[in-house]
Amino acid sequence: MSNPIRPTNLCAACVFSLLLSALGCGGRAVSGSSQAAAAPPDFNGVWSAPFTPDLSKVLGHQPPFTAYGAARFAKEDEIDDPLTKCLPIGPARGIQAGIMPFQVVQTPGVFAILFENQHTFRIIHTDGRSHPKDLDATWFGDSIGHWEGDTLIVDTVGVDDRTWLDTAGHEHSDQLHLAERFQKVDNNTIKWTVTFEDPKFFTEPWSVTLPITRQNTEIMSYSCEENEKDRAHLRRSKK
Amino acid sequence: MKTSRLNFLIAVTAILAFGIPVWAHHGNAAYDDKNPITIKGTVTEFAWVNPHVQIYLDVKDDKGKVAHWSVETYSPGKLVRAGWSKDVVKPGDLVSIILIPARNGSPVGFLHKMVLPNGKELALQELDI
Repeated sequence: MSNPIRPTNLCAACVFSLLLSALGCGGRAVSGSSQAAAAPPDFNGVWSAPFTPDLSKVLGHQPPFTAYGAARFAKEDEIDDPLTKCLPIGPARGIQAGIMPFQVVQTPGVFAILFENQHTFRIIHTDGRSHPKDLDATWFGDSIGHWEGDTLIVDTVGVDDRTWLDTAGHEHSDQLHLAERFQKVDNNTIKWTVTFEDPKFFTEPWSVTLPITRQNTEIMSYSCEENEKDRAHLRRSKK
Repeated sequence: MKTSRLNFLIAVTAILAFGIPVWAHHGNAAYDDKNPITIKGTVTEFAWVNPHVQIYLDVKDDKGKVAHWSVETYSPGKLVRAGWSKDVVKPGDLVSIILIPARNGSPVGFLHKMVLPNGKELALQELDI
């Protein structure tokens, strides 16, 4: 399956990466290893996770709630789901919900995720910047990422606490810190691992891993407000 | 195949086999999910749209009276992974639909399965990745 590495191929790779660094390209100093100047994998295209309305089903149990987190989960009601009010889906749920696909547009400095869900998007900055010091919470948070071989490592903070982590009603606070790994397994599969850290809601960080598969479709239109007639009829469940 | 990749695929298969309820859908309180029924009728409209694909059909009872049914289901993005497409049915097709009906008795339901004119069945479970 894999080609034996021939001496001539190795030499060619070394020469090429030395050339790139001499020309000021490549982004990173060549440290003598033929791996250092390798280009990141190409994630461009349309992708989707499987339908995942409840993260506890993937985890196998409820997440490790604090007392506060457990009390919030006991009171959750669909009427409070931001999606029922046509509010944004949030950075992780947008990927993991799996009801609508997303498109990745990848450039050297920006990894953009375009969600079919309500035409929303995430921008993951891959130009080496840090999170801003004064950060206002936003619907999709502030994301910075860097490459490690075949994996994009992403750090996200500043997510508006009105977003939900899933349809089952797992919520979070403004202290949410998301750590994600997007690993290219093969041309049609990304292994996505997301770690949720939120000391107000959870006693410790917890992670789930889901496969993201390439879709043979274009992303479609979706206007949540168009022909919206049902919100007035929503009632809070009796619990 | 590398061991790590094989382990990952095994884990994925296990996750998908857990039987996550296919109709764990927000807003299904309006439907009687314990009593699915089957209706058979002629498609009058097929709306392949977000957030919910809709099928409208005329169902004739044994007295010849026609009921106009409105059936909704998941989004196109989810249905394509279950083998659907925007061309699976068109107005004029005779189909059977297994659905959970509205609790208030109106001819409205949430689709679980559709049988096409050629006998092919379309459900909601995602097919093999």
